[in-house]
Amino acid sequence: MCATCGCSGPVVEIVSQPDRAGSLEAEYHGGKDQHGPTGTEVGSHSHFHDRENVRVLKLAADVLSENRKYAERNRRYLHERRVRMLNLVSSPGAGKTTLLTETIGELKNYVAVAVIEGDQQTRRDSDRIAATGVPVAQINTGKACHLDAKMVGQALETLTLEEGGILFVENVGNLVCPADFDLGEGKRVVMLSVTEGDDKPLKYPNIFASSDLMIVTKIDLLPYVDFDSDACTQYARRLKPSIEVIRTSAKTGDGIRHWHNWLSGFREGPGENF
Amino acid sequence: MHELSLIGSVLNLVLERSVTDHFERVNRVCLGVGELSNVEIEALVFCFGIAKRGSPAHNAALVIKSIPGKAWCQTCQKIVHIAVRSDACPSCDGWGLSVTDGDQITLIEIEVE
Repeated sequence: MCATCGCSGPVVEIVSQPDRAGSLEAEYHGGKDQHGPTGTEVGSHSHFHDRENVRVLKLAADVLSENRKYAERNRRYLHERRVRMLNLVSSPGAGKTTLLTETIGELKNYVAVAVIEGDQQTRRDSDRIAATGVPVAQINTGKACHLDAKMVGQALETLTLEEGGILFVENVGNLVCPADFDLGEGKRVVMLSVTEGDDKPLKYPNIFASSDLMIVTKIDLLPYVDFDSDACTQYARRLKPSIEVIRTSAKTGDGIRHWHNWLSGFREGPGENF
Repeated sequence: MHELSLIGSVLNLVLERSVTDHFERVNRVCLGVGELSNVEIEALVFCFGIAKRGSPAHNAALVIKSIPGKAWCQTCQKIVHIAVRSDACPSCDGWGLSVTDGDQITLIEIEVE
């Protein structure tokens, strides 16, 4: 066993070589020492054991801790202002902006609403939100596929948030990458349109496993697609037994009352403790 | 492609330590990637190869250790191994497992000089 990194265990190591950026090489470190004599190099896995200023720093650091630090900062900022934040995630075209504009029309009559819009490009969505008359901040991520807590923190500073209000963050349309990035939200809402298929929770498990509510959208299209609503709920609950489910159609208004009730419960429910 | 963001965080952590632990170069970066994490290993390696340029880890090798996915099964009252989040419990075929390990991305250690 290598005394430096202890890597003789039954693990598969994938080593990228310094001189071959981006290449992959799998090494099975079975029972025997594969490093050879001290100070020699086997493949790309060099340890330079005989060079006295070489040392190993055990870090055990969570790679997402930097984002989490910003997320906690956002959470504290919102808590101080008694503002509750929702992180809306879905694939592109599931109907996040449409449901939002429909929701805000009624919601703004009795609660302060603000929106942070995340898209790779354009202000099209923020223009649609701005037309409803509520404050909106647009984040263009450029080539990035998700919002992170730092971006949201910067957007928060540009928004006037009223005490007791609700802030919607519309994440970049993507069912993969946003899953790992806590933005400091109170709850996460994943939206899935019936045209996407009922098995999406199984195909993109991390985002459903990390969400508190699943909204199945465009249910007015159910007669035209093979979408099994009960199977979809079952799949989501395999991943997150406590996930709540609401089915809506922004077109016919079905389920919108249910969604408003859920929002009331969220606004009045217990906030984060610091 | 959030792997680029993750590698950016790894390199930031390395850079912070280069100041506090006084090293100039990194020979090896060892990451632990959970089976149940949302990370594509090939993308992670690709991004590391690009993003490390100009950093203290410029010449570093990347070692990735896979961390097995583990979950608590309420029915069996024990921790079981699952390779993907949508797996059923291997003992009772039931659902609704609570993940207890293998969903993390950890910077385990770095070899520096």
